[in-house]
Amino acid sequence: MNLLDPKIDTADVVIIGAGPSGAVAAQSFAEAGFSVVCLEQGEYPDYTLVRSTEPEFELTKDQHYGWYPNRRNAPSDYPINDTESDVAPLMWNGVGGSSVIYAAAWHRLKPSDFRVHTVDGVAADWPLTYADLEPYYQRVEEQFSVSGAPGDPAYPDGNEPPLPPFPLGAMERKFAAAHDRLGWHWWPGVNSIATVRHGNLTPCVRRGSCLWGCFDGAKASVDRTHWPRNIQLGVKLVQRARVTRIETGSDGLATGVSYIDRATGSERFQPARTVIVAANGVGTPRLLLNSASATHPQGLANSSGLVGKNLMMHPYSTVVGLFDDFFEGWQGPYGQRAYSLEFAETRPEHDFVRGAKWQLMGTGGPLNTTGSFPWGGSGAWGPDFHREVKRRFGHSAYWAIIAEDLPSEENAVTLDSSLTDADGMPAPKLNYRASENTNRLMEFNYTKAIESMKEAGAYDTIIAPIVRETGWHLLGTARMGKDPASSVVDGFGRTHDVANLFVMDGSVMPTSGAVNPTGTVAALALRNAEHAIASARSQRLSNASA
Amino acid sequence: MAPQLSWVNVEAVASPPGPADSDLPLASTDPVLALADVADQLQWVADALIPAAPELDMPSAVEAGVIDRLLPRALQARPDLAGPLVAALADLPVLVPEDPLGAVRALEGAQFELVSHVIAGAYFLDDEINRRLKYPGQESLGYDPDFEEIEEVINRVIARGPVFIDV
Repeated sequence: MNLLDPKIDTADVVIIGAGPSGAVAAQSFAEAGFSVVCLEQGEYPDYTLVRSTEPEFELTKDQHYGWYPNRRNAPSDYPINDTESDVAPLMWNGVGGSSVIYAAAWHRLKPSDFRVHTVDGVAADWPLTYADLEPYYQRVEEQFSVSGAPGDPAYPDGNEPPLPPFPLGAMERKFAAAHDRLGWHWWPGVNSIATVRHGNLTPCVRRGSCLWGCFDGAKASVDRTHWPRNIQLGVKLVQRARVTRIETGSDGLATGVSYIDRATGSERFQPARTVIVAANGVGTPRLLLNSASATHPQGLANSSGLVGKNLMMHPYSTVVGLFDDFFEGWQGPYGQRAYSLEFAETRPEHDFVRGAKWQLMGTGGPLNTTGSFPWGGSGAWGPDFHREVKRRFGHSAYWAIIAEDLPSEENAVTLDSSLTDADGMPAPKLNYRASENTNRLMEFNYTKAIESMKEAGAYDTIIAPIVRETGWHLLGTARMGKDPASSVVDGFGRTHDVANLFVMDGSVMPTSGAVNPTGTVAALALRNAEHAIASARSQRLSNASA
Repeated sequence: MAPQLSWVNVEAVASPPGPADSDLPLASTDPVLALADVADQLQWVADALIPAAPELDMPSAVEAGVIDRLLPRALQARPDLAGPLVAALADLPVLVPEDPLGAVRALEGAQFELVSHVIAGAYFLDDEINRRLKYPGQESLGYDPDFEEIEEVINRVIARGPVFIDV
């Protein structure tokens, strides 16, 4: 590293990670005239590898765009020791981040999600409210081409997706009618998928490959929605750049970041006046902990001791219904066709607090009837093979039950003592167990989801208890709050300890809500970036990088 | 006579070893084995997993062409799975055992998952099988929502009132 290398310009802002929050923040800073460098450990996705137009789709879909980095084992991935975790972490490391493989189910948190301690006496309140974030939700919903029906009564007024909804299919109609009879909430899917041409996206043709990369260019992954404009605005995107440390000066402020150029294996330093970490709820604490120094022996921004703690992963179960009806359950959005927030918040009659979101999905193509997801175990083989395939294929739908996960300091990301990535950087280690509250919450929701399935006409149901490889949502490991003793960053993502270091990803969420978090992560990134821009004049800078 | 499958060689296609905690066998332990070397096992394993079901009008894996037509196509699509498949099949007896399905199920869990996934994946590449299941593939569908219907449906939900705690 060489701080004085005249060939390397000091960036106003260096962002670590080119996923949703990094992309949103980069755009805001660049539009405001800041020089921005984004360091991304992976590359752009190659959508020609997605064979969704061919019969080979089901067999090939998880080869390049599998969700589990420990199995995918791409050069951009890093190993994660998850042997002590009930849930395996999922992510995609490259330009676009995990938006390349997310379901694109788009949600806002509910007002009570920002006030869990006040409402339920557990966990923590956020240092902002739904009303504070609402305008930013609206703006990122435009940026992410969100489609859906307006007026969902599970939210305050003003929740109006900018693009029109997908059509209702036979499956959706069944459940709409069932929930009418039950008097329960139900809503057509709201997704960050373009139903009509919008920005860089083309209209969705519903091939159903959302979770394995969208070849057709309809799903809002930020490599498509944000990075083309970011590049036009002058953001320098450096691919294959694995950041290993955030460096600090003698004044304790960040001076820039050290990274490995994966193309050459050489170590480099990118000086910057402001550092933004947007590397997800596992990658961000890993980097902060690995940035320990004599002045920050516990890791950077970790005077509270909370970096890496309070990991939340949204434990996820499924309740499958088997029907005489035939649904085209392999088509998109895949995804969510519909959702229910009937049981998403605390009710006095429950023996648990908070709740779960239900997400209605089809069960995929024929090959998917033989796997373990969403069935909770392998399909039938031998004499029962054909009967079970015919019972499942086209004749099934499932509620994915996404449980709100309460924060616990015992659930944590730490640095593994021996496992490292290909560049020698310590791998993260996860300790994570579902809580008793989660188990009670799940049991209740299984019962209710079975009721929903039966009301919709299912003649049989299958429960898959907490499915291990479902850790799409990595939250809470650098929580925000007003008190530096009990939080890592303030309400605008600025670390309490290092004035020119920000965290802008799901790590900052003090509670998880019960819904898919990308909408909230993106809205927070926009709000935090604009606040940082507005207060840039008073931004403290390291003497070493000014 | 065993079909000729030696076009694929483990040495050429085996993936590098995965991380320590990966639960899939990503590489063959014997780099010189080829699919042709396990052709006998493949023959009985395929039909043990997917036998014929005449009452449902469904052929067995071998009858459908898994061995000579569909599996080569499947492994062309997933060359990374060829090595682990050969390694798993090599652990099984050459001659048909007394309980073929039991013998396949006795494979280590990840190996069983792999073998069954690849055989079934090859089976479902067949157009006729998919026609019988009424699976047209991942179709491109036009956008033709019935907005009046959607409005009717959501208005019924809205009429039931707010579903959130107002704080």
